[in-house]
Amino acid sequence: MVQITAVPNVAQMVGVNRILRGQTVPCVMGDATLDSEQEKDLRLRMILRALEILQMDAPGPTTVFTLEGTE
Amino acid sequence: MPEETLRVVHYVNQFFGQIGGEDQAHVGFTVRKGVVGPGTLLQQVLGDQAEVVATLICGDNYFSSNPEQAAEEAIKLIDPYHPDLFFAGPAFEAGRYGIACGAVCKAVGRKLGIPVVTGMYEENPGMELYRKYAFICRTGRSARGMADSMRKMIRLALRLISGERETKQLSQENLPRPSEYDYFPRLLLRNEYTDETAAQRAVDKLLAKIKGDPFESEVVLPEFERIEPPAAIRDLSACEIALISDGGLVPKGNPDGLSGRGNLRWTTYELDDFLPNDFQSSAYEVAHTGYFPDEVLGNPNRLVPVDVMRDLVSEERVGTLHPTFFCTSGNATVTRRCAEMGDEIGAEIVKRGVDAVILTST
Repeated sequence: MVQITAVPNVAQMVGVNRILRGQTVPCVMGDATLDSEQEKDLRLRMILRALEILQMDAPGPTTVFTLEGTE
Repeated sequence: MPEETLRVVHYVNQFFGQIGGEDQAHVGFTVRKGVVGPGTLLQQVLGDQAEVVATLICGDNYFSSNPEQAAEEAIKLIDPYHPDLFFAGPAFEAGRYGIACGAVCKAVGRKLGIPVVTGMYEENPGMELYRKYAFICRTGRSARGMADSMRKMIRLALRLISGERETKQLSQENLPRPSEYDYFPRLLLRNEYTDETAAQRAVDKLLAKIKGDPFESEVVLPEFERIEPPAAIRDLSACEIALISDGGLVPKGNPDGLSGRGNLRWTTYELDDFLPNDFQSSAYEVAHTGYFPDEVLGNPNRLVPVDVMRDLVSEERVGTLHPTFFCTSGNATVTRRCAEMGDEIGAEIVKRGVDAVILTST
């Protein structure tokens, strides 16, 4: 399981083992400032990142993943 | 106690700062001279002892998405007012507000070396995250308790102000006990003399526990269970993935009656019907009052990313998208019920032979 959230420190506190930072609280898998094609591409990149994380050994709650790397 | 009137700075969110509701949760910092909103009560109770010289206001989403960075920004705005005391909130049950209050108190306490006091309900995630770094008074769940909570915070703050020469904070030996001032223990250890050794006390407590007699723990730890992480997925193209969300996206009419706040239920929807690629925004509502729902209603894939998952399946980059979506609303739900729902959903997911889950949260 990977959790995608814009408030990853709560996930860390609870002990989620695979955490990916989402965009914003009200729009975790999107960005309303982008046009719909760019936004869908962003969503795709986020899901691909999530799938990558699922294929890794879980780093545990000390790690928060981002699209590019880790925080 | 200093002879001049104490200078106080107060932090509130966009709602208590009278900027707006969820629709303004994204705003950055504003500073207003004097009091705003509940600051009026703060000033009233402080009376002549202190003056609220400024109120710092910030949107809950802006702050809670990057609490440490936002706190740095806050320090730059607070420092020029040279406060002797800092109050935040109280945040009651509001999670993002609690995180903001905790983070700003932590930064102010460290950088400015003054007493920092806030108030939260026990279940507020900000409490566990920041209890070590600030004095967090226990409050009830809602702002109906504002007056009592403010009084409790002020009583503690005045007790913390000390006349010690170099520092404005009480040294640890003089810290008031959590139980005397009803704040969440800061997990501080200090030396005390006792008649019995630790060994004696430990054995006494253990015997009492075994007998079923009352005993008092000297160190109380928060109760989040360590979960053994599942192994990595080996082959994505053979993998069945399910989507879960706690963002409360439901069909218009909310047929399963999820509550917008304190929700206790979870339910399922079949994705083909629930979120087709040619969705209509009018077919949905959001049963979750903890975030502004406009963007999700504009395109529900922003919460439940089905469009992209379907593409990945048809491109054979993922095996299958599980046809059922698991839906709940996670806004101020008691943590115990959250864990139960997790267990229940987990059992169902395992029963269905799903290999992996993507959980999207607001």
